[in-house]
Amino acid sequence: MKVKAAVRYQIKALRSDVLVICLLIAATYAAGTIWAVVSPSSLDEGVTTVGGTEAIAVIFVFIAGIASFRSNFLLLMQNGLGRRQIIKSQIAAAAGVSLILAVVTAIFNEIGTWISSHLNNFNFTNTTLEVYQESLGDSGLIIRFVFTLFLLFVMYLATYAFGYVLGVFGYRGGTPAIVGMSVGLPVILFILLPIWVSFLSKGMQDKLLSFFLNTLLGAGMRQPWRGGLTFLAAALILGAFGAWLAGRAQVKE
Amino acid sequence: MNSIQIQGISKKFGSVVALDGINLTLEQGKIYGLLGRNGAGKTTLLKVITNRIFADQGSVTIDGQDHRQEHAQADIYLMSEADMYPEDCRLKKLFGLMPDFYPDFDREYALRLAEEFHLPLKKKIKALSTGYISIYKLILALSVNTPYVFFDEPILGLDANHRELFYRRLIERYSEKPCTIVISTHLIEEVSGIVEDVIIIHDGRIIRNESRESLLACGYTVAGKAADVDAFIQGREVLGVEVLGGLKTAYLLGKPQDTGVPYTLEVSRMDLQKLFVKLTGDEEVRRES
Repeated sequence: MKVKAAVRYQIKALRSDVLVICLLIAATYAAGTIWAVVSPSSLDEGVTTVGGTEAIAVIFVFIAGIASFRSNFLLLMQNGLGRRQIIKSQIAAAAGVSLILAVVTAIFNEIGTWISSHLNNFNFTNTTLEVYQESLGDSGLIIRFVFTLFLLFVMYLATYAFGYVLGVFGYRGGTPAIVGMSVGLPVILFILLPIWVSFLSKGMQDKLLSFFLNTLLGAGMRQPWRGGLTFLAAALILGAFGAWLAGRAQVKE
Repeated sequence: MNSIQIQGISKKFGSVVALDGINLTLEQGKIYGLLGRNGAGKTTLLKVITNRIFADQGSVTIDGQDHRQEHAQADIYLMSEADMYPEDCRLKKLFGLMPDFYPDFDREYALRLAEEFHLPLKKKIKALSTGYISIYKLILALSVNTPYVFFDEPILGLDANHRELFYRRLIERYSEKPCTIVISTHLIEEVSGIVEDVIIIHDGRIIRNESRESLLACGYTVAGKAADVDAFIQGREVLGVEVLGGLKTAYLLGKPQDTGVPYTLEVSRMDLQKLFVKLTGDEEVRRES
């Protein structure tokens, strides 16, 4: 009973934020459609493409994952839940939020595809279709929707789990861990990685990108299920690591 | 057996020994006073029992169940100084949330108490004063109806009226629905009339664990002229002395009727606070092995 209450509480706590994200995605599609219909002359020069609305949800679940641990952990400890119960509830809440966002974005993807088919000068696209165009381009609505839903769900879940790991790591490591992550991640992403790509990689980045797209995501191999499995594996590994860290967390005051 | 059994609990923070081999049984249906000086280990002990922090050694069982097991903590509520609830949460929402976690939470009673204490339910936790933060936590603790309720410094920031009201409601609640209550506090005199058993913790070890009556009966005070007092305390076990002008007060272990006190000296019962101060004073610490 307490686990159910904990899941309900955590999902409710994110309710308004999830709603804002859904509205933001809806607004993107609405704005694009209105623009295409009302001002077609401004789009005369060719086909305008709008896409990547999944990124809004990805950024949101990442931040939600980081923020979800501390306050919920303290509240649930105070309200008599054991650590295992807390972890179970946090996994369920993460899955719930990821599923809601996956359903919303998958539906909007299909709406976008439908709108695009009625507009000559405007094209709504999405990451799933772009990556798996060769495999999914001709498949029917149901297969495409189910696959997109699954892929988005595991992608959001893996991103949430990554944020969760960082959140627990920051909580347990205290100020040194938070400062380390705050400084370390930007240094790696924006200084070391560009230096490596520009001067040291000797073409390695192309091989890595190809490995990621083809082997892990299965894009060029016409195996779209690979992407789902990769994100699922990432979600499980990161989730297990996050749960391991959370199970050993002590209350700090 | 319905009780909390604590066996050989030790906890270190770096090189500081917070708890050193604590053995303790908290029986059901009693009010305990957990007394100790700052840093004695009271809060650490409560946090270990409620599984908020891990002990380095030892075990805790709640009604025979390991305290780390999934449902073991459901029977305990710890009202702590720490802010465990989200500071953006409004009190009304929090009061509505509690029955989801504690099925026996008495919301009506909590709302009545909120009215009595003039607690502003529409406010967010972060907007409350120190006193009202203690009050909302007290109300939750009085309303959860779990078999074990622990209060860690419950009256922090409360004025005398609110403290009085809290003690009255605590006793009423205990009479209506008996449970195990542990009150950890520095205001010893205020709880001395409430607690049935007293646990004194000093430097991470329990130095006294007995009923209030037997603890108070273990000592007495004699007061009078310094020379008379000095003569009387020769060869007796003295906890401490206080001198004020030509008058002297001595705190002794033992029973006055057994010791033949001369009529020039005034004998009185030791009060809990004095006994605590003498027992936990730096030089007079007596430990039970």
